[in-house]
Amino acid sequence: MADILLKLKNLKKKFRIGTEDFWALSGVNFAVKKGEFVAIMGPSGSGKTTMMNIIGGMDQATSGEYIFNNKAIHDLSKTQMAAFRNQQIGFIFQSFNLLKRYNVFQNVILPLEYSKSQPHDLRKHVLELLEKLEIASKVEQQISQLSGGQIQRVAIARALINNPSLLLADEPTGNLDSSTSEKILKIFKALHQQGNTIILVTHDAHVASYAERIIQMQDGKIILVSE
Amino acid sequence: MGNIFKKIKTAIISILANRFRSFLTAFGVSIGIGTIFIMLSISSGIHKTIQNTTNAIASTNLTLELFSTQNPQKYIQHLLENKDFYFIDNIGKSINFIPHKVLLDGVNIKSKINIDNLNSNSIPQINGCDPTFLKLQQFNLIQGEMINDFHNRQKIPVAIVGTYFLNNIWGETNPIGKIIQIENRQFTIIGVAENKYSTSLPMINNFIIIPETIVEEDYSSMFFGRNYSISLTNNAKSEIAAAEILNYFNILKYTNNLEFSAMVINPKEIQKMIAIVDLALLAIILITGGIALFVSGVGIVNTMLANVADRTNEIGIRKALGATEKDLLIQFLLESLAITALGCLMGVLFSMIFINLTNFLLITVFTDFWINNLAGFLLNIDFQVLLLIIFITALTSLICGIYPALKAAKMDPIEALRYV
Repeated sequence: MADILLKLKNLKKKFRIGTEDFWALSGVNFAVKKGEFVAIMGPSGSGKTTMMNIIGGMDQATSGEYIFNNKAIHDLSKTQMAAFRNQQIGFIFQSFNLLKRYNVFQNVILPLEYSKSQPHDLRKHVLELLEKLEIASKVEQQISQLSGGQIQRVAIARALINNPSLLLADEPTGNLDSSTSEKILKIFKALHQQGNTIILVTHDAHVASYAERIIQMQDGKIILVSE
Repeated sequence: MGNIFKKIKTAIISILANRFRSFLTAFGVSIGIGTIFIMLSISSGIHKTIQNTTNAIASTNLTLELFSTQNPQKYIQHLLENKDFYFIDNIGKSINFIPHKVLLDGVNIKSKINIDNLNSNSIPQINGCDPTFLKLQQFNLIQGEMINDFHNRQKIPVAIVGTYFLNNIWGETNPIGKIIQIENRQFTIIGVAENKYSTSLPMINNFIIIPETIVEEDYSSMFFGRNYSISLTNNAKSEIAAAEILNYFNILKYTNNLEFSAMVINPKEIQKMIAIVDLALLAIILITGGIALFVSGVGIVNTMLANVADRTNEIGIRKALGATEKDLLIQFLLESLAITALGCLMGVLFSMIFINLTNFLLITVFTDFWINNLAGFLLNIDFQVLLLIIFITALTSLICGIYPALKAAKMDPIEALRYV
């Protein structure tokens, strides 16, 4: 049990659309071990994004349990959820979600604005991180001056700055061409090899093939787990 | 502490990213602040001018003016008689007010003096004064000697001049011993009076004082007023005393006599009038300033709402990265505070320039108009008012910034992230 990072128990999520209730998740049971690389696949409306939002602490389940590092996340207040996102989760989005008016350095350190602690030598720490992602030379550049692949590397650096327990990537190669996608996926693979836990949401089987385990979802339920 | 610096830095970066919109809002705020500041400086200037004027004419005593427009010759003979003094002394016994002294204040005449380039507005006020009056008014000299009883009794033609007359009209640097001619009679200057009142009303020091006996002898045809100063004890009711004295002169003494009349100037009444003028000015300023500030406030709300709408995606990103509602509330409040601070700075700067430039032009370019028509009125910068303005501005900014900031803080991160 000690190596379990997160666990979902009979997790349900209901949305109200007009006058009708819609169950986006209808009883999901699922666990991720520390250091694991999991891909979640499924068609639109299968509930994969909803599940990811709940795992990332962006949303609360209607019922069920969500345990992360032996702590109940489903009971947390809004402020505690914000701290959870800041300390435990590193988000990587399909549309990058970087601040265009900030340069690379300012974007990477953005999560630290909301952290209580900071690395001892911040600039050195950021440069080391960017070095690993091969974009250290771009540290002072504006986001608008970078290519798609470089922008996603900046987003990965930002996700790693707080040493999170979990990297949560939502279609991270969705906006990239195939050769850039390959490079980004190799970065994920390397990060996994370094011991990071990664959950990646995708509809692309090739992208999912980089993961150790693939979870197939449909109609708010897990229908298949393949190792 | 470090955290707040981070937030201030974030606010500044955000403002710079929307610099045109932020500057326009700040400009709107600066107009509001500038309007209030200039209006308050006008009000403060008016207040000061009125106070200087009334201090100058009223001091703390009642002033009894006896005047006649029809027969100055007859008027000059009409000094207060013993029975009048007796009456005034006795008013106190019946109405619990004790006037302890009635003084001969002096007489004013209109006259020509032999100084070049003297226009009608620059003519000094010429007073004939009793030496006792000068002593009791604590009238001091900066140069020379005082008119004394001997000068007055013997009708020696000596004069004391005020500094405004000396420096601005006559232009004489060493007046003692010099001769000045008033109508057909020559006077030797024996003293220069110190500035009795504020320098913002320099005209008050445009005067010449000569012995009262000479005025009565030589200038009686030019009389236009005779004043008596009546000093009251501290607990005296000046309104009642003034009414009693007025009643005595106008009803009892000068009944059915249209040639003479009496007027009592009561400094307390003047103070009351000043208070009313002050209050009216303040009301006008509060209403106008309030409207200006309200319009600025609407501008702030509008800009900040547009900011929040434009930056919905950023709010989503920040929330995803761990920003709490409080973090975002503070960030957006700081932004509106920073915009308002910029507006406040611009407004104060513009109005300071305007006030100083106006004062400079009044003193140097429109000097005559300023002295003769504005009684030495200057816009006055009150630093306490400035602090109050800064406080009100900060408050406005917080009030106007709170709704957009709350809107940003309460946003759902998932919805906000979808907004591109």
